[in-house]
Amino acid sequence: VRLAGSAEESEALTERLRNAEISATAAGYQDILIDFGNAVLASKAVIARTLAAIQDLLDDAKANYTTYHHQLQAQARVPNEGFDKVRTQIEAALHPNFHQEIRYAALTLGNKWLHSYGKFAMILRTEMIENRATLFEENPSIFATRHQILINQSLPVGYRSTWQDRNKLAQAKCYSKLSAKTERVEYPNILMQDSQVDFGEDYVEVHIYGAFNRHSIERVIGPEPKRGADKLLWRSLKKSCEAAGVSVESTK
Amino acid sequence: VNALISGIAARAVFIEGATVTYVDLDSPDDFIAVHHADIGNILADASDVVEIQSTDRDEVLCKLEELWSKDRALRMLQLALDDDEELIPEAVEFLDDLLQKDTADWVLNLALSWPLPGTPRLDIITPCKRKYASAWECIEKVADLQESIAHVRTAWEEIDLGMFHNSLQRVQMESVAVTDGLFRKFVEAHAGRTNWNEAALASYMKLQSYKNSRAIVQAWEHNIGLQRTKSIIEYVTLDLSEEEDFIDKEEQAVPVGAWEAYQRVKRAQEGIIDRLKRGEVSTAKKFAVNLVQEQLAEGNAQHASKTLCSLAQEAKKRGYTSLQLEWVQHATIIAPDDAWAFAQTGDVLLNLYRLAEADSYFAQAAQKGDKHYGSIGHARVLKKSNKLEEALAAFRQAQEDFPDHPEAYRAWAGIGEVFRDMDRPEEALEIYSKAVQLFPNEDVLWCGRAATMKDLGELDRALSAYQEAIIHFPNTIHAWAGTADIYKELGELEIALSRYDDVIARFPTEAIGYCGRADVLREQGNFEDALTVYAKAIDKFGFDPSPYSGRAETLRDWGRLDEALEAYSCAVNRFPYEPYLRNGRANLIKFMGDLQLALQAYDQNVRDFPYSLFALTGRANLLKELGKYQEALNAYDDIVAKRAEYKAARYAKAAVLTIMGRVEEAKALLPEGEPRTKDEWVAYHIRGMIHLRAGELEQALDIFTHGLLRVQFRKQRAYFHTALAAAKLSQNQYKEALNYVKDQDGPVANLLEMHSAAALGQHELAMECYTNLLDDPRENVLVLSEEIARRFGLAKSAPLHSENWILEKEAEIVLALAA
Repeated sequence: VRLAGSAEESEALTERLRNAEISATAAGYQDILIDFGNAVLASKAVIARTLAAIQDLLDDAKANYTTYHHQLQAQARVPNEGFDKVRTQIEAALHPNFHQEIRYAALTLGNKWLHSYGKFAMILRTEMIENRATLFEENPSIFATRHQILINQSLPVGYRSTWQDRNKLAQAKCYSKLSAKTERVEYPNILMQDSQVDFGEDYVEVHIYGAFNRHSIERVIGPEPKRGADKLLWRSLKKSCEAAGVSVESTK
Repeated sequence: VNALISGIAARAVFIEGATVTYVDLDSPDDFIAVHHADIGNILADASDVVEIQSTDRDEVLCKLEELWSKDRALRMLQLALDDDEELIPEAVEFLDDLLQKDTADWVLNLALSWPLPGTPRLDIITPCKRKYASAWECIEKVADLQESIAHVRTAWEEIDLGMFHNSLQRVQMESVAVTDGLFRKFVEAHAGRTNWNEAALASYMKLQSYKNSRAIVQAWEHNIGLQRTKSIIEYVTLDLSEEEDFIDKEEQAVPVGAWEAYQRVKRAQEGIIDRLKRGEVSTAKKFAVNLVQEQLAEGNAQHASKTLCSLAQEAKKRGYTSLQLEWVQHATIIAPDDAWAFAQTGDVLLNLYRLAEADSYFAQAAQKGDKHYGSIGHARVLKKSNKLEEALAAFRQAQEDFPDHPEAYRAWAGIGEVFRDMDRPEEALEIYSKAVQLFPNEDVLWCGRAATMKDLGELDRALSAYQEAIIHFPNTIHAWAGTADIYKELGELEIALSRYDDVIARFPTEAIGYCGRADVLREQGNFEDALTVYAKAIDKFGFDPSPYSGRAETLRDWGRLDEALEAYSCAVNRFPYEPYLRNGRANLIKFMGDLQLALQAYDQNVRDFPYSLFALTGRANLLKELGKYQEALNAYDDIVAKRAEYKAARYAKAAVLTIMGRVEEAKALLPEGEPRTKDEWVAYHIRGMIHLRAGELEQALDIFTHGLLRVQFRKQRAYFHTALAAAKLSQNQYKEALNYVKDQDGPVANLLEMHSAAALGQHELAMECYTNLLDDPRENVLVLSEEIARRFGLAKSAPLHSENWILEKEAEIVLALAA
């Protein structure tokens, strides 16, 4: 949070926002840009997972949502040299000396989540994360590719924010997707692009420092499964949610 | 790896080179494409991921169904043994169904490895034991064996941690003991249901690859507390005899002569290349896998790696980049010490703009022995990531470190290319000229030298240089195509056309000749034939983005703007990582007059290609055209901050400063002396406009006339036409002004033509120009055309400004739109 809120980051983000405002003014959609920013102030953090992973977290009051690095440390997972090497290096560049303590989520408006990361999703309680969460422009691996950043180089500033300034980051990032014709109903898809709709996910990433458990979950959402066994697991999950005081929503 | 599957996630991920797709078991027909960087996230929760060397959809889905059934059977068993009365009956039903799919052993292996936390509700399950006999049998067994399960589990936990090599080894051994049923065998033996010796034997066999495994299994047995009826020696004997059997089988392979093996591999490679030529990619892949497996079976990993690298080059020639990546990456896996395979993988990733990964592969190539290629690769990565100073230093370092390397010319060529990228053509020419003397057999240096001469506007010299290159390297396409290109630039379009015909005849498998010919036809206004050639090029070279953009540009020039936009959109979808296609599309939208949409398109390009100075410049230019001068100035400053020597932005900034009246600052940005490059001619034009705005007509006219006579580049020549017209208007020489712009296109020429014609009393022509300008989206153009109309009676109302105001605004628009 201190890094994201530093003067250097904040000034660079303000400069990006200024560019966004120039384009919005030149193209006549400055009101839409402001409205979009206001809408993003109500956004939440969402984590997409498998049914089993969510169930495990909800069933056990003592269970913490685990990180990739903790899985490795606990030897519950074997690293994949090919896919995970770059990821770890970029995460370390983003969060020097504490990247292992970061949990990853995405910023969402409404009921959207990234289906490729999991068919079900947990919306987190804002009050449980807002003081320890920061925002980043996008998936760090894709960011590094897009900006042609090599492993031994530091990341450019202006691409992260505190939770409270997430509207600014979203405006600076998404302004080119807005126009004078954009309607509010389109905001969720502008903030988060799911691969089921268009090629490749595009989203603002939420980085949460430290552990959290089922008490940080506000809502679980997911589709009604098609197969019998999965339908039963979903019913079981709903019961677990009820017991833990977490609301559940079935989507199509 | 071709596919990763997980029953827990109910998902299969297909990885074919650079292409990643996934499919969920629930919707097996929906293949979703994702970014390669997401592979790690797609199966993030899954602890049961299996790698499969197959892309056969049915085979992969069948395996996925199997894994899903295993996972869900276990979960149904857990629910059945849980205490939720409502869910138990259905869980039993589904478990029974899933156990029919050969999952019973898997479920029992896992269920008999950990004791249950509570007592199962058999009272609820018992009534349906006949209906769901398989499920009942499984549940009853788990319930009955709880005591033994707890005992065997405790026995495992009590094994001294010091006996394991490390904690990871303990986790791995336990995982094998669970999934391979060793816990289950000991549990059943402890309960007296199976033979104890069998359980012990299986444990020794399955865990033998781990350090100190024999002592660990012994300790486990000891903790469990049962006695074997066979000694350990008997196990060991049995163990070794099985190993010997295995060795015998390996040795039974019939040895093949080296020549015969070479011929067989060569024939197989030819067959694979033939399939690639016919576009039968999946068959080619299958054949390649078979060939490589054969070579590996013969113990020849190095040869297998070379085969894959060689096939990858063939895939590259035909535009199958993803397949190329798949094959070279496979080569690095089967031959982890093959530096060449790593270097080749670095090359492919570099072309895919995956720079960090490319850099890592080049570093590994260097570590594994190819230090030269590794160094050059690193320098190329830096160049591609726009770190030109660092790239220059890296190429110079390679030049110094490997002066006698057989491919030492690569460092020289790299330095020349970096200088060209830096807009330092004089230095580029110097390095190429030296390099050509040192390495006279390298065509890339000769062609680089000629191209640099073209950059410098020395078209005749460039032509001679290319012709000289043709004499030395008659098989180098770039020399032939370079010659044709120079003729095109010189306006000798018929000769250029004939030269491109030569290129096509000599190099029929290359797209460059077709695209060049089509481009000349477009220049000649022969749009129909140009489109035919582009269509042929797209048909023959569908993997190359050039003919797609050429087709779109031709449609634009022909005035078929909606079709042009459609053509660009198709090209952008097909080649999402090509920034120039996206910029071409944005330019077209601007040309179509929708400046808001164009700005949005430029903004999206800036976000998606933040390293592309073209994207940033496109946005800044549009802000300038819209009259947002301060904003444009800031945008140019951002570009110059990224690359100070980027002349296009530097001179455009000078134009904005001139408009804003900050003339001294503008002058400081412009070069002195005779211009040579395209950018320098633009700067020269701006210098003339500064004189014009200052009322120094004589100097302005000198510059514009000199420019018109000397510039060899057509687009830049048009700038001098409009500038001269603006100068002549300020002298009230309307006829001369009209002559300069009557054959020119665009809103600036239209404005000046309207003014000249109106002043000469040619009201029909003036009205035609005025009508053309009515739809112009630029406010400053509209305001000026209305004032000219008022001034010369084309509109009914009285003029609002003086004639001098009109002249000033014309000069401003010439600078804003042309410079």
